Amino acid sequence: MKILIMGGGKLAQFLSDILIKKEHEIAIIERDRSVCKQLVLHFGDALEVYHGDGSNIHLLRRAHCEKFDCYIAVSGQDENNLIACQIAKQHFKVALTIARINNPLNEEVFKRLGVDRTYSSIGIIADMIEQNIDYNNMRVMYEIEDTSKRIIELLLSPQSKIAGVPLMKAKLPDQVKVVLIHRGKDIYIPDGNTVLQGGDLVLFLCDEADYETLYREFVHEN
Amino acid sequence: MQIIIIGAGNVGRALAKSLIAQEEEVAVISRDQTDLDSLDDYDCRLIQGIPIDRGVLERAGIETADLVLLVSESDNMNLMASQIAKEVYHVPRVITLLRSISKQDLYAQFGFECFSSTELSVNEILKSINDTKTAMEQRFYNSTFHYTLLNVDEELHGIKLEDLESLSSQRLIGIVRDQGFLLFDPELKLEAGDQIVLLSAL
Repeated sequence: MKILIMGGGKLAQFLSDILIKKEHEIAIIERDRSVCKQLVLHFGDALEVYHGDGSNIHLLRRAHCEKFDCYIAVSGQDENNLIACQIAKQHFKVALTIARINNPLNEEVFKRLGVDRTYSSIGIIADMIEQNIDYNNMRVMYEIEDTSKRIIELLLSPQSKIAGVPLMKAKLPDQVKVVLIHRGKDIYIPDGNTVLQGGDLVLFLCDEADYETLYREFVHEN
Repeated sequence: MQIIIIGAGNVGRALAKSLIAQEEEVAVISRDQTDLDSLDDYDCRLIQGIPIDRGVLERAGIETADLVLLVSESDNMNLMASQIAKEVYHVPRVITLLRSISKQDLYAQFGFECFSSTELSVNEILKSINDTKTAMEQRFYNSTFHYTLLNVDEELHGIKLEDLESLSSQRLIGIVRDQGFLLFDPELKLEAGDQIVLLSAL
């Protein structure tokens, strides 16, 4: 994929390191001249660096924004990320726009105003902290958008009722399914005969409302 | 009208003062307390905060505002806040001032009511520089119309508009006389001191 990244300083650099390894074609737009110089030193010919404002139409034209498949705006200012994504999508017809949101409360606005994907590092960290405080050894891996369905991962307690029992005999709450088991280095897609063991990392499909039950019955050590 | 002005720089403050003098209900939002302080003696609400923060907007009364004017120094801030005003709060009228001509161009195409301060300033200055001609531009999406005012001197006095040599790609749309505008009428006779208004598309 051809990816154009705006802002972010070190973040853009780390992101580009990863993306280049996966053989994507990258270009970076950066407002700070000294950061640009560092990027050029670090990447050499591996990617293009443009000095300027990622929402400036003349600069985007020079960078051939229209040939990119994805525009990622990761600056520290939400308004710059939003406008850059809007211009990339609506004027330069870039298919996928991704924006970093610094204020988690702006997420709805960004989605409404046409940004395809958003992420808020502050939001993610806040969620992680909240989960760790409430539920140790259990975490939400994925939220299925616009539903209350979740994929969660938990560390199965040896004392849990479903440890040592074939899955088809285990009493799971309604609408809760075991999706995958991670035991040491091995991965198992379970069937009715699979026996869960204490110490397994188990992925469940469940509802948000089931967290308390799952925690109490499968994770919590008495 | 209930008006919210976002930005309390030179433009924001001047707008606030004018609108207050017109007896409108004005609230001003700015990140800068010092800027707001200079409006202390005026009859308006002053809200310090970030204009893309819903709490700040709601404190300024956006839920019942008739008009929001975006005149802060950041084009992107103005564009984001104007969209929040329109799409989230459904404010009936939102006017955005931008610096960048190309952003104004683009967002005007998207249907925004917006101006470019750069463009307005340049046009005014060009008008002052030009003696016998005064030029104005009006952009409509991808087309630009060019208005030229030509001063009428003694030589053309008494000539009927229909007798003026045809002006190839330009159309004579009327005359400015005594600070009023007269629409084109073939029978109309020119007087010294008139200005002929010519229209052409670029």
